[in-house]
Amino acid sequence: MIQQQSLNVSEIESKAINFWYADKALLIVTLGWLILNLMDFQQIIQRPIELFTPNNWFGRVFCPTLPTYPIFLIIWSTAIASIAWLFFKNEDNILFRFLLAFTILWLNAVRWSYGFQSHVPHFFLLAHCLKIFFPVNIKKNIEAGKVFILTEKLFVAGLLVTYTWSSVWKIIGLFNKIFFHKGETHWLNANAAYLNAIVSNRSYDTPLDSWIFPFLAQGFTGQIGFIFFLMVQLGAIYAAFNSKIRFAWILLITLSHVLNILFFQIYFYITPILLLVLFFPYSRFLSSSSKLKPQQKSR
Amino acid sequence: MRYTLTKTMVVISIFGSIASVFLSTKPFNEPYPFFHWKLYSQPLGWQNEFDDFRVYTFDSVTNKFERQAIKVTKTFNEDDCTYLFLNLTNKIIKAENAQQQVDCKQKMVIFLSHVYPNNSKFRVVKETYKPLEIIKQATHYDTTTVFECFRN
Repeated sequence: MIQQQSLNVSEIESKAINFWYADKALLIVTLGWLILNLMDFQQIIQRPIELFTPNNWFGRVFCPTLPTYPIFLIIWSTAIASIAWLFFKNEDNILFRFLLAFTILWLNAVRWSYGFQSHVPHFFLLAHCLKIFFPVNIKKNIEAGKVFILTEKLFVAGLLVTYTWSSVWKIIGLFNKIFFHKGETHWLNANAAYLNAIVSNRSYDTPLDSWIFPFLAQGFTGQIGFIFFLMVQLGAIYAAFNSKIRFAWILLITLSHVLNILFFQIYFYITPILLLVLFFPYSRFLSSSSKLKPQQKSR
Repeated sequence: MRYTLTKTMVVISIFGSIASVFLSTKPFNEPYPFFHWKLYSQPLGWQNEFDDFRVYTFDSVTNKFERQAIKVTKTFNEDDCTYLFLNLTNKIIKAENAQQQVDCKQKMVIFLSHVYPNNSKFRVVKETYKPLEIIKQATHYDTTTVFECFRN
């Protein structure tokens, strides 16, 4: 009984420590994203002003025209200030968490007002949105105990369910094609991945002479790849609730992103980086003295 | 309290994601930032034929329209350039009324004049190809002019 109790305490402690480091890593990655975003804006501001067309309600309400450089810098600096406050001063400040999520949303809205709403940063946005209220402080989370553990699992589920959704749509699409659109190519067809790679690469005018084409032309390689991809996506929600397999699953999801880049030119860069930094088992690689560090800091 | 609010946020995001399936079409558009994650639910080229669009610019020396490959410009990366071009092309093709089409064509002229500053005559061309054939012969595709436009 005592053994069981101490095991739970150490589990809560390691989860609280992981969560604290993951948050710091998220803030650092966000800082890097903001720097790239500022560089992007140097390009955007040189485009003809008439091309700026908000394509969703958020853009129409909060950023209806191309922002001037000073306005952009005010919003951008608010994001930087929020990161600085959350990193150095108070990691649990709801106002700065909200401001950070809002400004990231706004900065994305600027980029997406040119006829192309990329879905790549949605995971990034979601991570910030779901963290608005979630305490990061190790001491608070250890004291909260089971409530923290459950909330952490739901937080991870909220993020990883996006992969499960994606697989559910693929399964629906697969059945739809097999039963209602016979003769059309579905994902389990021997040519499916081959066709997908050809169209995807040709849409960027990439020469179609790479080794990936004869590789995918084998048929079974694409079929095996699809089944692997589908299982990894489908199981993501299970991995959210099972701490033992979670990081291994994250590595599989990351691998599937890498394969997507390699074969299909589907460039999800920020998502695999976030997956690795958010779910890395930090507590396993830190000495006990390091483990105490965040606790001392939070006092 | 903060844990309950976090759990509520997760539930909201899941409902937002489901709502996104139904709301992402006009006039509502996406319940930003929640996305339905309906990505690649079928392989590209599933009809065994594919329509792509490209800009052809008029070359006054050769007196011919020359195909322009997807490129990175000073103000657009590959993705931004491709997607804005495709978005405007689709809006022109599917315009609900004449005014909308005129507005989109005007934007297209501004866009093309910006990306190709040395050209003044543009042709938007639909390239139809069979993926299993184009892999063997890169020039094996049919072309149909969608519309032409000129720098003002």
